[in-house]
Amino acid sequence: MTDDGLIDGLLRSVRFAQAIDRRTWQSVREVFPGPAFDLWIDGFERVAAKIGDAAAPFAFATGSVEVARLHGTDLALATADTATGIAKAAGPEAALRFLAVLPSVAAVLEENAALRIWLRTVEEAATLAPGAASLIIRASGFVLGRLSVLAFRAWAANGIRQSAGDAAKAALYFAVTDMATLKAFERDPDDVAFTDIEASLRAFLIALWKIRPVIRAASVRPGGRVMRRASFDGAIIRVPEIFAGYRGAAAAAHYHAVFAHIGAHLRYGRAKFPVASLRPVQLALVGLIEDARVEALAAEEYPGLRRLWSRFHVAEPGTALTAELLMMRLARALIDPAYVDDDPWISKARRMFRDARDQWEDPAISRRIGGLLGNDIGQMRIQFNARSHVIEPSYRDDNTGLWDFGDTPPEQAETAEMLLEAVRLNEQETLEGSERRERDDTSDISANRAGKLTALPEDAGIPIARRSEWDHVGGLMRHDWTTILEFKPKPAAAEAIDAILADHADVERRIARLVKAAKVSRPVRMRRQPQGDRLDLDAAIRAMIDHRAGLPPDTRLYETQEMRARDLSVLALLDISESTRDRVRDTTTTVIALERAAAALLAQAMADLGDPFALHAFCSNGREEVRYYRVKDFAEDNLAMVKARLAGLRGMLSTRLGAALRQAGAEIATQATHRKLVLVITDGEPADIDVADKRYLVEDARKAVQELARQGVDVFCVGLDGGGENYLPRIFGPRNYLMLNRVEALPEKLPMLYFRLTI
Amino acid sequence: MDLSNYLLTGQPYYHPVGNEVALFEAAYAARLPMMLKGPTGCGKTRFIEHMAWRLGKPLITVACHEDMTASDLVGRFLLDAEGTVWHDGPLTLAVRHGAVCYLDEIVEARQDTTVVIHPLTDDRRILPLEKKNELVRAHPDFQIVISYNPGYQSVIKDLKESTKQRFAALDFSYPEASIETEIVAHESGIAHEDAAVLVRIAGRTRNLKGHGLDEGASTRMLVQAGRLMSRSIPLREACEVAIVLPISDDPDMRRALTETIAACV
Repeated sequence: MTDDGLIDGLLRSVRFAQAIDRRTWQSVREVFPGPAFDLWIDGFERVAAKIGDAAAPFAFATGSVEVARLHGTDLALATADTATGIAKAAGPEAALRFLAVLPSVAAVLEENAALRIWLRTVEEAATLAPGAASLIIRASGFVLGRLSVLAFRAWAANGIRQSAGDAAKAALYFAVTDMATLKAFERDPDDVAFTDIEASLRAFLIALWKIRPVIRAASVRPGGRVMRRASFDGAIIRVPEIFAGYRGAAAAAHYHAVFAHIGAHLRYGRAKFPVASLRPVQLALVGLIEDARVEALAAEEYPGLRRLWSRFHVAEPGTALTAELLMMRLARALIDPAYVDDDPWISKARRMFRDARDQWEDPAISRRIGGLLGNDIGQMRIQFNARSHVIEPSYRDDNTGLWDFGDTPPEQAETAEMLLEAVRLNEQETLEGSERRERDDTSDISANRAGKLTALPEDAGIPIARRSEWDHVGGLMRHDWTTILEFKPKPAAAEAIDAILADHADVERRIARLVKAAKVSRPVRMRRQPQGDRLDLDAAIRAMIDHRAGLPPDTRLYETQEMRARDLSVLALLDISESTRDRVRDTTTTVIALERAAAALLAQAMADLGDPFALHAFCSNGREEVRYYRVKDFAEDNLAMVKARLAGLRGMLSTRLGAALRQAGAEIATQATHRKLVLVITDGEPADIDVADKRYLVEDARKAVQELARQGVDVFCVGLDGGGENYLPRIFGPRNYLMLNRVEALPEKLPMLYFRLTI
Repeated sequence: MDLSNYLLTGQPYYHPVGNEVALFEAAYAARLPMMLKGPTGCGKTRFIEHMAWRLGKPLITVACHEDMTASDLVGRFLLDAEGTVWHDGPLTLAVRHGAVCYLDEIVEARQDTTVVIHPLTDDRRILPLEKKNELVRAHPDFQIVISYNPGYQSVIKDLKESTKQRFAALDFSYPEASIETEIVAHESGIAHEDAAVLVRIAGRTRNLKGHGLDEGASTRMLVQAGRLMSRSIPLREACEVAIVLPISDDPDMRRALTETIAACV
């Protein structure tokens, strides 16, 4: 059949083909050769069916052709998935708009990777904020023309967070055309964001002054304005996610200058200054002198800091007399002894500051000198615009932490709230505390829980620990964020387990053989060694005989012992979330039934092998209810009871993997073995009812795995979800997971895997 | 046998930080087994060398390691042309001929190895050589000293209670800044002011213990940095090579250390 014939055939046969003209068909045929064409048709049909709008097929055809021309067929075919994904999450209108902007976005984004990120971003946006998806997609072309795709991603994420489902707010945010707002999200490959060097900065503060403040990174201030300067209040530091204008090493140095400066405030500052009746210019100048004072003291302790700060002071003497310029020059004059400036006001300030040298320890001098200088400025009739004033140089904080405003101004409210939060988190040690927190929570949730507790009193869990959680967006560890509740697994008839075990009798036998082989790892006597603890008498006698016979004796005369002891404990962690109740394709069993059988086989093997072994299970219902079941503890050896408890496990609720991993890590930490292994069996991506961001729990679980690795606990995962490749390597690392395509194979694979891992 | 090889010839430099010298002399007079505790590189080994020199006794040092067996300490049969012949191990040598036997980093050795010293550490002062069927009575000059770094490595590597309780202990830590400065200046031959900066840097890194570092920079590290400086390497580079790079593999921690060092100069 010729191409024309084929196209004619398709024109007739495909349901939506009428919407597309012949020329478009030809170009489709051109850019999707061979098998790609079949895939395209498949995608085309899905798009047409899912979106159900007459315009969709044509939009998809033109869009995908354009993408294929610029970025290759793979990405073009992927747009079908994105389009159907968007249609499913946010409705056909958003999906249609996506198809419409596709050609222009494909043209704007030059790299394949960038387009891929954009596709992912809009699809995620559709899931996270269905209402705003259409707006984000519409703005894509415009924003991507001005920002990199990563900045676009940050911009979209920020908008979704800020509008929080409020349609009016979202409409306002995503209708941007304002370059200044957009610029705040720009990130160059050379840019250094706070999160890139956060660990280093924290260590820097501890090293210099043993200060461990709460640090929050933000791009917008509570009022909605872009954050341009760092800020501190009490022990909380807020810092811009990125400082525009600094790149690479300079940006890193700038962040260190910021933190050294705030550290100096925290180290040498005292109580806050009352604002009282000071005028704005006086506030600014008192702040400036206080900055100079703490920096001077810090530079006496650490001379290198003066060098670090000085490089950001670039003001030069000049004729323009504005308050801002004068202040910049004054700031430089006070820190840089080599700086020459003949301005009488600056000279006077310098002299006053130097004369007060004996009293530098006392913050009152800042108030005194700053007040006097402010009066002078007033008499010099120099304008000072408090509204537009931004503290220079940029490494200095906005000095709000220096002032006691009396009644909290509205802008401070969030800071105060955060402080409160920090304090509350600190008193979380006791159980009482955690209960009080639960009451503090939003009433509907606790009412819900109360209802559940009264309904099922025998099913109540006991809180055993609070675990932290990693917020990848904020880049901070939320301490004591989740509550682990221990639930008693209800025993049930073990016949179900035995039945499955009987099905796998051959596996059981194979495992028994492996166990036998593995157990031979007792001390081994190594004979005829060149070195060793004892003489190998046989070898020695032979050597003597050789010697007497005049032959060269063998020098390998020693024997030694080598310990090949198995020194390993294992904790198997079963995911028993709702999704495990799904039936396995083409069978009558469910995922959880297979998990149970696999766990039972493993328990059997472990009992024979003698390695310390525990079997725990988890599911979750929001962060305050991470359920933890001890099916078998390390010390327990009643296999029948374990089977009964396994049989009683029911799939329910969600998968908060990170919290469960941290709990498992704490459990296995008590084992005194050399190696510790947590074996996770999960069937889906981490998710929970109170988390909308798909990546959040994935990143948290990844963090948890890293924490465990640092404590010397190995984590390995067996994934039962077909899509596991998307997140399992991210969480567990590329080598530490195994995807089971045939879930039915789990009972057989799990014990085998264990042997592979440990022998 | 002559242990003169094991006698120290020159006086090893040691700067006392408290009355540890007097304490050790008293302990030696009573032949008490001694345990020197403290973080790595704070001067435990130097101290024992110094004391052996002061007391005029030979010093036999054994660096303990995981694979060390009891025979490595006690001795073993070897072959020569005529048959088997017994070779005393370092411990037996010290016991027989009267030396101070110093077992460095004793926790590194396996626990079944360390128990061979038990009969030497109580009033029996004997060492049974079961393979040779001999009971060695300790020479009057013999003393056993071990070093022990608590909180080092894993919980599994801890001394048995029965071993611990046989020893009297001296606790070492990094000396206070003025003394440490003097030590660094003396050992590396750099100016006093430079040594003071090094000591200040070390203080900052010790702040990070438990916050990314397992241990701060030791006095030994400072001396090494100082030695590089005395070969006219600039301070910051010397610190990079002798302190930052060895102490951590974490790029964040290295950056923090580098910035901290820059702040101190």
